[in-house]
Amino acid sequence: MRRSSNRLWAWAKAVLAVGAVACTLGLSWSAAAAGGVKEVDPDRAKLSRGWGLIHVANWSPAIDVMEKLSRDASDRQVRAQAVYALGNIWQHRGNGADRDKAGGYYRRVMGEFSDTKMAPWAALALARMAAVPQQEPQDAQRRRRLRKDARRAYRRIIKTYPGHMVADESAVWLATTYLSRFGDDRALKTGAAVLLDYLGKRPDNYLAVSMHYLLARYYQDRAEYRETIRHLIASDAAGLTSERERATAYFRIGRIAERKLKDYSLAARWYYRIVTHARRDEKFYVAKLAAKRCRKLAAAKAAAKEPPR
Amino acid sequence: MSDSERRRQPLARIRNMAGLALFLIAFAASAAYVFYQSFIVDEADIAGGRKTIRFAHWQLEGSTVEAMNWAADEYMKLHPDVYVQQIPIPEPGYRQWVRTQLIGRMALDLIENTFSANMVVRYFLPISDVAERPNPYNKGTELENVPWRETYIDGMKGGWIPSLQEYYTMPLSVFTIRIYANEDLLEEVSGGPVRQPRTLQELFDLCEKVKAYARRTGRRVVPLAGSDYTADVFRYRYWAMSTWGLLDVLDTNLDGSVSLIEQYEAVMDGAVDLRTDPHIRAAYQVLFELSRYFNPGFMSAKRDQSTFLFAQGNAAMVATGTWDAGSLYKQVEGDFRIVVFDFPIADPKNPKYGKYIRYRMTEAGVKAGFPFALSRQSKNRALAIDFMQFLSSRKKVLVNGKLVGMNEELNRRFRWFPATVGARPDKILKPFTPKVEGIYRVFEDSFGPDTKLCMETSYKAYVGEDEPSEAEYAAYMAKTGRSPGDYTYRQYIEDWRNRHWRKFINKYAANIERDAPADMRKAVRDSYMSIVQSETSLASARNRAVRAGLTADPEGDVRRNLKALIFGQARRTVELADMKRRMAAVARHRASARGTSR
Repeated sequence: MRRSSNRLWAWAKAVLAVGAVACTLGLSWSAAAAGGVKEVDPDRAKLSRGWGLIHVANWSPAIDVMEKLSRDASDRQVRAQAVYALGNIWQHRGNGADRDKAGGYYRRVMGEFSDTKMAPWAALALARMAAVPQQEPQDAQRRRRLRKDARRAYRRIIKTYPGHMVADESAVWLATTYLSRFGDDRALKTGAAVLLDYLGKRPDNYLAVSMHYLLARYYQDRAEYRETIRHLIASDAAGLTSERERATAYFRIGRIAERKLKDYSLAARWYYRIVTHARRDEKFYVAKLAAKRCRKLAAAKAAAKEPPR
Repeated sequence: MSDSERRRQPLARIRNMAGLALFLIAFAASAAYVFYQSFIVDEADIAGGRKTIRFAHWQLEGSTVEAMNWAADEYMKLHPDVYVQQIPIPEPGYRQWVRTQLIGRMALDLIENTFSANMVVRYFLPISDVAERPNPYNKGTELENVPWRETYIDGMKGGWIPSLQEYYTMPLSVFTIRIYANEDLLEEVSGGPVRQPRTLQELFDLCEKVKAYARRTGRRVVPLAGSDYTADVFRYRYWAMSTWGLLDVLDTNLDGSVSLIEQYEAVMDGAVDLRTDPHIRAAYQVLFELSRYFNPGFMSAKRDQSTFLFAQGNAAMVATGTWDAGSLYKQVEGDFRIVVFDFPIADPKNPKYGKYIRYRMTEAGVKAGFPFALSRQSKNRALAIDFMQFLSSRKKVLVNGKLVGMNEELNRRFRWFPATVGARPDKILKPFTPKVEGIYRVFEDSFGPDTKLCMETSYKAYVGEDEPSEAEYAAYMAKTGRSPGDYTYRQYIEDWRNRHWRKFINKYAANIERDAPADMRKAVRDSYMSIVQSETSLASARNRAVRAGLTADPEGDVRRNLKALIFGQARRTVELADMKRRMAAVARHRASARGTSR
């Protein structure tokens, strides 16, 4: 009896062992079937995956991936990018509740990884985070201080990273801190000077369209209409970003030429540009009528100038 | 312990262990099966070994489902290795069903998009790069080398999401709105062939004829099928058409559009006096006149009720879009003929409206609809896009012995308007062809939630009020001793309407003056929040440059995205500052005016 119960117990243990092995095999076979044989991902593939998770706001897994990379990646550039990405995550998740934490990561990039490609981006991210707080400050003193800090940060970026995309972008933001100071003529002139100076050095920078647009607005507010039109035309040449923006700019040129400069030929030409270049915009028909009207006015004006026969 | 107890111990252990062992074996088998089913078995097995595209939508009206089945069959003829499955879901449950599918990772390949940008960016893939390349199914047509997006009537604007600066959806049809009319009834009413009303007065005259006919015959029929929806169709249009002439006054920066601050300044500083401005008066008076021709209680009725009223022959006309064309034509088939009118403008000589309602609204900016988005979870992304390119193409398919373009035929079966350039609409839809001649909306009747609430309440009371009856006129004449020869019923009604309008506009203007500043403060807060939120989109666009290792002179999509987002953000930042300054100036002027008037 004792021998048979021991045999039974041995059988039971064997069945248990088989069950455990079957379980393990089943799971690992399925997992293998699901994903193929799991290779060890190189760091950059993990980085790419992490960015993909950030793009779809899948924060927790993204944090895991980037935290590990920031510690374990052998390539310093990868570690720097992972730290930058962590700053990005904490800045944009949870409606800005963790901006301080984000700032910590960006400062870490600028301190620990200052010689990497990520340092300029971290500098810009820090500057923008400071310039656009989650809640708009109501206190005038705080707004003044924020403006001052932002300007300092943008100027530092432009000086430290000339020719870099972050410098182009910082020039736009620096100018807006001045051009938003309506009523302060000195500030407005400084803003315009920032842009004119930057365009003088880098006329074809990829953000020239924004710079010319801001200058057009500045000159229009000062009733300097020829300069307004010049910069609107330049912003078009630099590549306005949509059919709607093009139609708006052309219409503005037409209306300024017609109403303010009485230059009906110029007006007709730019109204008609909506007909040829922005035919799907809602202003299409109105522009067509305006072009026709201005051609008549231009003809009448020309006829009026002709000496009597 | 006794011998028997000692003997029972191993047996007890075996019984316990056996149960556990069985459980573990069963679990292992189940886990293996679930994983296998989830990751190995795919639609290929369902579709007989073919690759599968599955798409879902909520357009169950008319013949949409049958048309999409036909389109799927045509695609499968070209691609015998592909199985296309349509999943139509009723509208009420559609959004919830899609969310469940997406979250449960059981999603389809193509989903009709009705979702916010936040959800779109999370669950769907942009298709901007494909949109910039020619549609291969347009080979052999004049669209052969044209980027896919340019082959759409709207330039694929219907697929563009501005806050994301990407194309995310692939639309199939264009929708416009007209007045459907019961041609048989109107012939009976008019005593002759029906002609499209060319002016507002002709439309009013036609409506009066319908009313007279109803009185004469005792038939329960109203001129215009009314509901909150159809009333808004007229309101949206005639408000815009009447107030268009205010552009010159409102558009201070001369860009052809009117911003909220431009409108606020004009209204609060008196450049546009709501109480006396003739454009605004024309707008409300024409809307009041039109509302006399709706069925009683129209403000409480819903859209389906108004189309039903028309389909039953109890309303001579109904204003709705091409989305209802398929079902309306089907419902009335054999009962009466439909003729389609556009919304008439005023005769220039009309004393009330001639100076103001001179142009229709433009449809140049109309966006294509019935848009499908590509799910991130799609296992056959290229195939799904290929299917959509097929549906939106001019690829010739054989129908009843004739070769017709795919998008054209698909929309003919929908009874909707095609989205593809050069595709001809079904002949019944020719009147729905988008018209570019026209004006656009420049003036809003509110500034935000508070003024809108007051506006809606006042407006409903204004258009919902019954005019005095002939009996009330008679009582008035008896009381005052006036003679009908001196003061007709028509004059009495006209005077009543003027008083009614004055009461309404005074209340409306007072509400605006009281509540607009608070709405503008909300608008300032919202503008700032929009700037904060745009920083996330900007960061995402910068991240693409970071990932690509770019430092200078970005190109392609990275350049396009960053340029557009920075342009928008810079403009918003400066405009917000300008808005605040101008609001402060308005407040100062008004305070000063109040001080002077005391």
